Amino acid sequence: MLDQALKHLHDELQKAIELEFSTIPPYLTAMYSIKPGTNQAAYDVIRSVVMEEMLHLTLAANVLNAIGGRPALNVAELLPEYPIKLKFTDRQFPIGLLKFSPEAVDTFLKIEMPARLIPSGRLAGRPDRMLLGGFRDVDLTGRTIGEFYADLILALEDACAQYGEEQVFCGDATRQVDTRYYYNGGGEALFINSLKTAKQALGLIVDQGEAGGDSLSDGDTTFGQAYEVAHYYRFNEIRQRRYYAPTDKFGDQPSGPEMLVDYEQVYDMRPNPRQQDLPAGSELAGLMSEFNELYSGFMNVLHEAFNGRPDALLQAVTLMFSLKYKAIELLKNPIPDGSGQHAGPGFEFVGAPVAARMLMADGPATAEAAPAREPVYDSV
Amino acid sequence: MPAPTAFMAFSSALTGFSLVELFGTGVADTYYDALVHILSQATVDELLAAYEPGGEAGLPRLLAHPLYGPLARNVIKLWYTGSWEQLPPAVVLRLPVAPVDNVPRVISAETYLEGLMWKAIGAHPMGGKPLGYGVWAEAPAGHTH
Repeated sequence: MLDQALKHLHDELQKAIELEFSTIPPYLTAMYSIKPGTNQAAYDVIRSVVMEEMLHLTLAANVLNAIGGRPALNVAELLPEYPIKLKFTDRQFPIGLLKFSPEAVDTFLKIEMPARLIPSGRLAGRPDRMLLGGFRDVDLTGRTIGEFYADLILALEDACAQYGEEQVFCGDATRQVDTRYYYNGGGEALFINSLKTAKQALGLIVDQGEAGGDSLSDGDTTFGQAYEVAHYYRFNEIRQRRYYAPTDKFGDQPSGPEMLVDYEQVYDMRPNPRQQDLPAGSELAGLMSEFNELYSGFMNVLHEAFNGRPDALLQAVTLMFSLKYKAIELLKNPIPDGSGQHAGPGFEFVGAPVAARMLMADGPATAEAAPAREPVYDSV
Repeated sequence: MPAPTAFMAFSSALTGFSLVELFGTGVADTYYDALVHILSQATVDELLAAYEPGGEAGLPRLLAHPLYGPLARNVIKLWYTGSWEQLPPAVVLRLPVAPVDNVPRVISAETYLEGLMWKAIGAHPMGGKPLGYGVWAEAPAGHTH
């Protein structure tokens, strides 16, 4: 029975990891498509959100490890192939890799939609059941990401009440990726070993994403951090070309200083760039291939980091920077077909490449084949 | 203005970097504009016209030419360092270059970051494009034992 409860929680948290991860490439693509020296405010806004998504991924993995689970981050079937479709009970929409554009910002707003902005929704009590992506047989709860986590917290509480906290939080503490390994990344990577710390972590995810109460703030002002609104509202600042003022309340449009947004100062990337769409054997296809290899290597190192080798995350940082520069190199390249459109990062997982093998060579290989299973996403 | 194909081919032959790598810097247009500004459109067209018939095979001859040689070398330096190097007096005497335009300088903050020399040595530009804490302990990218 405990096993069943834990299995259910493991599955839910793995989905959380996939959900958090799936938002990162679209955010990064839009951010990197901005031409250097332009749209600085929008760039900073997207960057602040993407850093927090990385933190959320880490926190979800820490909670999963704390309850004896094994995060899977290097399995092709579990990684997004863009465009993906995100399905909630009452709405669904595609998420693609798009250049910085009104269309991209609208998608981001849909992803980060707080429950109380959905007019038809129930606002109190247990949220409606929903289906997320390809999980046709496994239903998740919640109409938004925040509600999904709210339900996860309830399930954790239930399990602890039923089987005892120590039975549930049975994970190996050495698998936690905490502040020793995760730095400068959107907040503190909490060490999870109890229901209290798990609720803190999942609560932080919801607060940064949706905000709570009548406030728009993400609630995180520790260490004198500046006032910052939650993700949905940050993207709304870009869309409205205006910052929120600290006095703005729920339901208000931003009334702070103007934000300069120029959608012309963007590399005109063809949507959802893929290796197969570039002329085979061309130099550009070669560059895309290098990017995808690097990305796959990075995912392998990330998988290692969340599976008993937290120090691998320090090496992963270098790979993240390399990925950034290669993504930008792609974005600066016109596709040589006369369309005037530019290439872009594909984020296509191609297995375990050379970079990962090299980085893994100095430690025990702990990669385990994760169980094959339906992905969170549908291909569109 | 967009860098013409002829300029990109010329630059690729001079630098040894592929077109994709040159476009990947994002500053090809900046360099072309700078050249046109400093040397005049007519001189840039003349330089490219001097290169085209011989192509890459004709480069040694072009580089030995009293006028085109120094200009071509400045194009190489432009790509590698993101900077304009002062042209020698003998060249300036034959060209309508304003002294104020022939001052050695970094073209822009971006061209400094995008200089091919950093790629060539497998390092990142000092103060830019960082690769994360502790990366200095790693061998340069592309380094083989």
